[in-house]
Amino acid sequence: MYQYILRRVLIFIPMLFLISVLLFTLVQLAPGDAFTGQLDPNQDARYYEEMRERFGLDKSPVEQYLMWGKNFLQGELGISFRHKLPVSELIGDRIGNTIFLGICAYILTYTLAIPLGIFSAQRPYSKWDYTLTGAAFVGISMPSFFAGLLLIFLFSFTLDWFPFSGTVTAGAGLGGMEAFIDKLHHVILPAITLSIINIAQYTRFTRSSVLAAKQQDFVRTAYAKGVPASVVLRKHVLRNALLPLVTLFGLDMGILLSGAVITETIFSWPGIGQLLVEAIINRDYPIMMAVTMLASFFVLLGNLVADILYAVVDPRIRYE
Amino acid sequence: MQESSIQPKTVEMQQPEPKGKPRGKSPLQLALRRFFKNKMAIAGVIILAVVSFISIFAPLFISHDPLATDLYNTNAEPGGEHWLGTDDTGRDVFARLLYGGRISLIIGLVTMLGTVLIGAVLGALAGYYGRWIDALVMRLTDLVLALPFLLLILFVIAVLAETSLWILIITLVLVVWPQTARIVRAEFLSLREQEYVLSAQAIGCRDSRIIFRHMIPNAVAPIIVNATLLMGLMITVESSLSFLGFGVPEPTPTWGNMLNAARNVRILSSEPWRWIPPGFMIVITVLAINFIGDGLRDAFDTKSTRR
Repeated sequence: MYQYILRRVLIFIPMLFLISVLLFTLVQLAPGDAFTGQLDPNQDARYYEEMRERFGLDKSPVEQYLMWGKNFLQGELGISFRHKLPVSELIGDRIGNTIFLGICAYILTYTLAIPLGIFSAQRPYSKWDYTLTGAAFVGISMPSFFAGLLLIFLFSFTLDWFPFSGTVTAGAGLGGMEAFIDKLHHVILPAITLSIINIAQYTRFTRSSVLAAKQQDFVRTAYAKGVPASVVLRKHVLRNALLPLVTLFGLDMGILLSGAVITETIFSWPGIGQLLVEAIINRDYPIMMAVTMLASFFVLLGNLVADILYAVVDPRIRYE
Repeated sequence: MQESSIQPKTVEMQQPEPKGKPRGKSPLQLALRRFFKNKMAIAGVIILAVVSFISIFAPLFISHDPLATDLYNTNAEPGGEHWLGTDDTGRDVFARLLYGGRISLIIGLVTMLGTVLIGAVLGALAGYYGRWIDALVMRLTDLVLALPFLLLILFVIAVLAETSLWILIITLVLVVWPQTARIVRAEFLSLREQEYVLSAQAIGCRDSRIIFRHMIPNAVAPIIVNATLLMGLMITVESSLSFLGFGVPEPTPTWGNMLNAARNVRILSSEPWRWIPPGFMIVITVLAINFIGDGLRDAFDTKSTRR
C-alpha cells in the first residue's frame, strides 16, 4: 500500500512537468504579450522594452521555460504583470477564501444529498421520490451561474436575506463570534451555488445505490433473522451503499475548482477563481500558469485520495 | 456440376423467410422499444424537437432582426411591439432568445460529433492494439483530465485572444475527447477477448474491418449515452463561457451572452425579463437532453429492472 502511494505520488512529477510544458507552449503560441494591449502612445517605447526585459519576455521560449521552472521549483511563482506583486502573495491572500467556500460546499453537499437520497430510496416510485428525482434532474441541468443569479435575485434583491457580494460586511468592524457568523452569512449563497450540481448528483447516486443494496441477499437474510429495520438500514444497507461516496469526495476536486471560477465571479468572492478570471481578461500569464498548475496538482491529489480511500473503506480492493 | 449449381438454391430453401410472423428483433430495436416506453425520455425528445424547431425556423415566429439596433428605444420594458423588451442597444430580446438557440444547439451537436469521432477512434485504437498506442493515448488522457476542464478551456481561450464559434467548438472538442476515449477503450478491452473477434481475426479480416464492422457496433450503446450527456454538458459550458464573456462574441445572440447582461446589477435586480428567459431555455434544453440520455442508458442496459 505505501509503495503504491509512493509510486502514485512520484507520477505527479512527470505529469505536472508535462502539464507545465503544455501550458507554457500555449502561452508561447499566443500572439503578443501582456504589454501589447496596453501600448500607450505617451509612454516611451523603451519603457516596454525594459518591462519585457524585466519579466524575461525577450529571451527564447526554452530559456524562458527553464527560468520559470527553476523559480517555480523554488516556490517563486513569478511576478504578476498587472499587480506587479509576487503571484505567490496574491494566491496566498485568496486561497483561504476559496478553501473556506469549498469546505462549506462539501458540508452542504453531504448533509443534504445523503439524507435526501436515502429518503427517496426508502419510498421508491412514490410521489416524493419522483419529486426529488425531478428536482435532482433540474439541478444537474442548470448551469451553476444561472442558479447563482436566481439565488441573488430571490434572496438578495427580493427578500433581502443574504448579501450578494464579498466575504464580510465592509466596515462593520465585527470581532470574534460575530465576525464568523457574518462570514457564514456571506458564504451561504455562494456555497449553495457551488454545490447545487453535486447535491443533485449525490442525491441520485445515493438513491440508486441504496436501492441496489436493498435488493442484496444479505439484506433479506438480515430481515429474515429478525434484525430491526433501522439496524438493517444502518448496518447492512448504508454501510455498503454509501462507501463509494467517499471516493467522489476526491474526484470532485476538479468540478469544485471549475465551479469556483464561476461562483466567485458572480458573488465577487475574492478567491483564486476570481483571480484567474481577472488574470485571463488581462492576459496575466504568470497568474494563469500558477493557478492552473495549482489546480492540476489538487486534481491529481484528489484522484489519489479517492483511490486510497476506496482501498481503506473496501478491504476487498488491494493495490500492489 | 449440376449439383453445385443447385446447391445455393437448396441453401435458400432450407431457410425460408418467415411469412407474416415478426422477425427477431436486434438489440438496437429492442433498446429503441424500451426507450419509447419511457415517458421522461419521450418528454425529452418532444421538448428538444420543439426548441430546435423554433430556433431553426425563428424567422417564422418573429419579424424582428436579432441584430438590428434601435437607439431610440433602448432598455424598453416588455409588451406590445417587443414581447420581452429591448436591450442596451435596442435589440429585440425575444428575437435574440429565439435565434440564440441556434448557437447553443450547433455547439452542442458539433462538439458532440467531434468528440465522439476523435474519442471513439483513439479509444478504439488504444483498446484494440494495446501496447504503445494504448500507453500513448492513455497518458494523453491522463494529462488532459488532470487539468480542471473549465480552467483548461479558459486558458486556451485567453491565449487565442479572439474567440469565434469554430474556435470555441475546436477548443471544447480538444478538452473533452479523453472522456469518450476512455469509455470506448474500456469497452474495446473486453470486446477484444470475445469469440467473434477472435474468429474474425482467424479468418483473416483486416483490422480496420474488425474494428469498424464488428467491434464499434457492439460498443455503440455506451458511446451514444456518453454522446448525449456530452451534448447537454457542452451547452452548459458554452453558456457559462459566454456568461463570463469568453464565449461566442457579440453581436451573435446566444443564451449565454444574453445572460451576460445579468452581470450588471441594475439588469439583474430590476429587469429579470432580460436574463431569466434565456436561462430558462438553457435549463429546459439541457434537461430534455439529459432525459434522453438517461432514457437511452436505461434502454441499452439490459440489466436494468425497470422497463
